[in-house]
Amino acid sequence: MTLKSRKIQVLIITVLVVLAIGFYGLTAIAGGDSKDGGKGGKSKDITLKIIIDSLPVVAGQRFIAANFEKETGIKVEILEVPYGELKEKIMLDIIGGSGEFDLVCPDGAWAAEVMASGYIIKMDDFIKELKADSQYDFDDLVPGGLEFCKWDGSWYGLPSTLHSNAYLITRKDLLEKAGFGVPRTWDEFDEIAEYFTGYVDPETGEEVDYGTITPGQRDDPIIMAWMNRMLSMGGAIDGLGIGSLWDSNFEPTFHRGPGLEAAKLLMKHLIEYGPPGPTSVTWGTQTEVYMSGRAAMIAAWDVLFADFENPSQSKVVGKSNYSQIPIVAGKKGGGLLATRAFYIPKGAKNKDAARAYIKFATSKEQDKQTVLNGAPAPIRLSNFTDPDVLAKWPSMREAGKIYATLINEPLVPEWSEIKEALGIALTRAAVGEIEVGDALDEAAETVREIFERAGYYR
Amino acid sequence: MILLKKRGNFKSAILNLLTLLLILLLVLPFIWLIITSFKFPADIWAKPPVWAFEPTLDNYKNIIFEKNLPLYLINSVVVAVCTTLLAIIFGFPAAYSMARFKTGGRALFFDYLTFFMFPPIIIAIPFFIFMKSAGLIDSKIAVILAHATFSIPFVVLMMRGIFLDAPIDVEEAALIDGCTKFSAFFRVVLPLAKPGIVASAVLVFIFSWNELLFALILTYSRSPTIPILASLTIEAHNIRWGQMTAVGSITVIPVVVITFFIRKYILIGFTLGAVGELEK
Amino acid sequence: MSGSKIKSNGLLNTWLERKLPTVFVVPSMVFLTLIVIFPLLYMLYTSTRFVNISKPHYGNYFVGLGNYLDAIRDPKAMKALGITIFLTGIVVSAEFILGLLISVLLNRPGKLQTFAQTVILIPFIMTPVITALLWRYMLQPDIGIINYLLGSLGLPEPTWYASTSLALISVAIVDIWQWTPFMVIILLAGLQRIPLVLYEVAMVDGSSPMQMFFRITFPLLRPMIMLSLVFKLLYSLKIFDSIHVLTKGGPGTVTQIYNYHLYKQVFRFFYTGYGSALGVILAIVTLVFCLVLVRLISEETGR
Repeated sequence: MTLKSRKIQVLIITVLVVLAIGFYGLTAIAGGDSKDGGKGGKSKDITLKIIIDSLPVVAGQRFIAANFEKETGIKVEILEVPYGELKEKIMLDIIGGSGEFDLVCPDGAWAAEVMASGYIIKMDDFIKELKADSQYDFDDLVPGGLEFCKWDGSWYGLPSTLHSNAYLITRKDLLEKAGFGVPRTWDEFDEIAEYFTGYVDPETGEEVDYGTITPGQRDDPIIMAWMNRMLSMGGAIDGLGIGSLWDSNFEPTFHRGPGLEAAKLLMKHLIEYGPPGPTSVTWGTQTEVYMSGRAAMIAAWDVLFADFENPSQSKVVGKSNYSQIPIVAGKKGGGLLATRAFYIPKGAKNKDAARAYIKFATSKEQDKQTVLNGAPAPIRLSNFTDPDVLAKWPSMREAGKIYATLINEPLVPEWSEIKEALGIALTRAAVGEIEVGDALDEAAETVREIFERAGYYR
Repeated sequence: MILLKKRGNFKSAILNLLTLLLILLLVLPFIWLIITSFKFPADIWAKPPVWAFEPTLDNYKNIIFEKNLPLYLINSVVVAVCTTLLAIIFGFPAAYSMARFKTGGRALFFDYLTFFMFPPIIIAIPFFIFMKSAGLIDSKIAVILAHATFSIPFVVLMMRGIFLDAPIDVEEAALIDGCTKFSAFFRVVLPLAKPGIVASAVLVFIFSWNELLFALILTYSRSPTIPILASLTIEAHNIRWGQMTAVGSITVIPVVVITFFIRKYILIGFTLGAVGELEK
Repeated sequence: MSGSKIKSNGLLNTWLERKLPTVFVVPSMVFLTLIVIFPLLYMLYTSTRFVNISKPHYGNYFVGLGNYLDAIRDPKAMKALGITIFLTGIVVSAEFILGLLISVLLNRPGKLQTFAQTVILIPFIMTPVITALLWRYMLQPDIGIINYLLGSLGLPEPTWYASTSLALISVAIVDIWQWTPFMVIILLAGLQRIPLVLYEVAMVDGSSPMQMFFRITFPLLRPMIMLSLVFKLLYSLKIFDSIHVLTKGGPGTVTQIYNYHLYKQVFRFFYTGYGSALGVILAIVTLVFCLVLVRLISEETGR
């Protein structure tokens, strides 16, 4: 390079830096202006903005939004984003304090992370107000769902929807014919699964390929399947995950006891009764295979039940029995509870309207609307037994009982990281790369490191 | 080629067969996509795969009316076209200058390379903050600017290579004739480079059309693009295969039709020097 | 409008004439710098700090090169880098060889070839998320059409992206299907400019097609080859959609490439400081690759 071109370069760079500084200065001023403008024009036409992922229940949420608009005159805008991108969308919004959204609905799995971040507002007073309101009937809300809304002794939100995959869906026609009842223990479950793996009906010639099909893809699918089994086998965790996952000193315990047993059982279900390549199976694959009539039973999400009974999607309409996965009698812990909850970011522009919306959306009547227009996933106990709801969703007959036993995911902000370690360990075991006990031991080590780094042992 | 004709028809037939096989290999997955988009969900997961089935337009109806496909389509077209124009207007002269006059030497070349290769995942968060402070979030401008970060360097790098390969004689002739460098650029270089511009434009258009990460971070309800619609079919617990395949089919076909008409330009575009020969 | 007329237009034009090369480069540099400089500086700045944007209670403090050292010491990151380089090696070489063969095959006049030249672009035009989903659907071990076809031919039916040995290969297949057309287009363009006369002369000399390929086609195609390799290399290091859709990095960490590891750190766990350091390392690795390739280009073309 010649001296001259170097000189030119230096000149160009200097000019650019100066320009850039000026540019950012200007945009900052412009940004400030627009923010003030937003605050000024508040009084009349408020638009409440909600961000949520595309769940089947969103159909119900839209219904509520329309009702809310009718009642209060406040416009509601629901933004649906792909589930895979929900977390970064919400986090970037609340961290930036941009106030684009008045209500955010993150997955319960990140609830602790969201609440601990300090970017959303506390609502203790609001909850006190609701508790005092007899018409609202606060005690009717499913207790498990409320767990996702409390952090460090304060209230931060209220559930917008609850769902669970602790349901056991069995083909009642097949099971009855073969003389089986609904399995009440995992041994019975295994026996039935074994019987129906590669089963051909002697009369009709109907083929059932798999006794059961269990999701085994890395991260959420395989972890949820494992935790469901762990909880149903007598495992217990409290809000922070203390119990079968780690002890009160946050020393991992999931690689022993119920955790290990559940992992062994899961491997058996994945490898022996399911399709080849268990780590390719997602919740979607699982339900599609069941709906095509090639699996005798599955443990699946209640939000998908509408699909099961839809003739354009399912070949097993009317043939399913909905109950709970096998549990140890008399113990709490019949599987995992998942949720989306409403939180109000600190930067939200319409906090009062947001609170009003939360109150409205979680009311008995509107919750019923969600269930009737979306998917069978109410947040209120009374709606589990509501005759209209049961007429629409026969699958919900046992739902109230099931939801009373569910346990929510651990409320530690590091849960996402821990899940990665667990997902890696369980999938490695599922493809036979490593023995399941050793895999969990390794995961325990990683989890220890995560807690160590986060300062839990100090 | 002339050679092949001389070797006889047998070899030509084999080569044609190979070509046909190749086309099938490339197109069959796409045809499978189209077929799937007309299936009811129950048929999509049938085993063995079904070829004869009752067709449905439900998937298309769903994405067009319920999911509001036109909004995404218009946004995508606007974003991709603007990005392409921006990239060509800024990138093309720079590429010419770098190739012909060695402006900035290798250092400048590396500047562009550096811009081009920074991982978008890292850039995305500060870029979001920047756009936020500029009040441009959820505007097409934000997405266009984000796409420009990889499109301009792409055009520069691509066109520079093309110019380096092109013969210099026509321009020199023009300069000797008394043209200034400036007018030589507009009167000689630009027309000569047209196919090259079209070729890089098509590639930039495709990259912008398919870009997901920036579009996702920077848009909310007003300016989402097609890839966002595609990923919306991936729900938390399930994938809506029918809708996904319908989005895939609808969005590919217009681009295929366009490329069919400008195919010739794409092929000769990378080789400015050969334009004359091909047109003979 | 004649050249002399413009020349006589005064000072501005004289200046423009002298500075034309710079004038042409400056707008794009200014523009790019304006958009990118803040993100880049931010990234370099955060890479020297310990910061997790979703967990502010962890603290935010200066760690110097600590993040870089962490990344280099982190076996997961280094394994991911290894997987990335391996995957890049597979896909770039496969796409190049396939691209070269196909472009030679299509470089003939004929309706079939013309048709093929158009449809070959389809995989490249398709949105990558959809491509990945489509392949996930087709490679599905249970109901996938590919296993169905293999089965009906009496061949073994592998579990593709669900198996340790084939997961990375499945990701590679998706990428190869998607990017081979890009290679074909660029190489085909290069082929079309090789004057036929050269081949005719070689024919007269009695060269075999093999000799002709290595003596004429390959040397003349070299600039195009380098161009396509540089671009594909840069894009291979950014593979994301197929991993995210097919395997989520699993089973185990078999397909957890560097870019996916980076994504997890930044967008899932929000370690932006550490993530930025990972990003800078990736950029440096890319730069080294490019340096080598650009050296090759410069030497080969003599420029």
